[in-house]
Amino acid sequence: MPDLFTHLATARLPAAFVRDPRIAALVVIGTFLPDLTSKGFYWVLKCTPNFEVPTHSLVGVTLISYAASLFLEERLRRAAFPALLAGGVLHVLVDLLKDNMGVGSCRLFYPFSPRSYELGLIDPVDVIYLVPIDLILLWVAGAIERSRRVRG
Amino acid sequence: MGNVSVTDPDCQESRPGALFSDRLWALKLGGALALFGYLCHRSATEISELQPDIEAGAIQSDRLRGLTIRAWAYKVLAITGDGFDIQTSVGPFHVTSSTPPPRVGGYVSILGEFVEPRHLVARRVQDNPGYLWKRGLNYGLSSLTVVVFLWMVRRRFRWRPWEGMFRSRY
Repeated sequence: MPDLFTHLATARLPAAFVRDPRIAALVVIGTFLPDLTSKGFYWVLKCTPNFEVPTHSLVGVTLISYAASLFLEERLRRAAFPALLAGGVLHVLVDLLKDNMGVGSCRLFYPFSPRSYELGLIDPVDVIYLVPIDLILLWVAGAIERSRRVRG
Repeated sequence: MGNVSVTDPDCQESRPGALFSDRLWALKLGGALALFGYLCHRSATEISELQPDIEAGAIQSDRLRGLTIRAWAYKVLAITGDGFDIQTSVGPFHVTSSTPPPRVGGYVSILGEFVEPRHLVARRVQDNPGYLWKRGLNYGLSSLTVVVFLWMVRRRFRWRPWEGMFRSRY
């Protein structure tokens, strides 16, 4: 997994265009959910990596986002679900950047297809080197938010 | 003319609809979690058939023959004439490799196939220098990110378990 700081930075960019601060926060929280779920399975429940596959598939992310949205107050849920889902999908897309030696980093369409995909751009061990890029993304997101506030 | 108060459109929420209403809340949550649990259980068996964990090769190799094994970040125990040994949770495995052997104590990722129990022939070996500190930093930074972000946005939500776990402040 890329670290969650990288996922935060990539989610803050689209979230900067969201007017409602609650929904903007939920986009970022949604991008945390796939890893929080898979690492919970791994560290708490001691599950095998193959058990965690749905946490990084589109169907799995949809179910996680739906379940998470139910913990919000009723009138916010309908808007919260797509925000959480967008964050989760963004997480999976960022994970596709990894180089898993050609075997793929995410089974995007599981359970409909077990095929695994990857772009093979960065070694998963070296994702920590993305931090400088993350800082630039966060600065850009902050600048967008400030300019939107000024324009009212 | 009387005063007219209009709620800001940004503060208006649409009706929740059947999927998101409080009606049968526990059933909806239970259904989503049960379906997700089923998918996880199914993937554990289905994906293991396609891409087994390296530990599966400790006792049987016939079932795994021809399947690609990807072992990520395993510690090198010893260097041998035709490759090296790695440490797994079920004991050491031997890896036959034509690539220059990594140093003992280092971490490597391997793509290969089983030829016999506990014996892999590597197609590709990737050295993972600094695995331990990079992994530790990754987890540390990730944990800190989640905690700090949730603390920063906490004022946007209030703790209201009887109205949904998190109630917005607006």
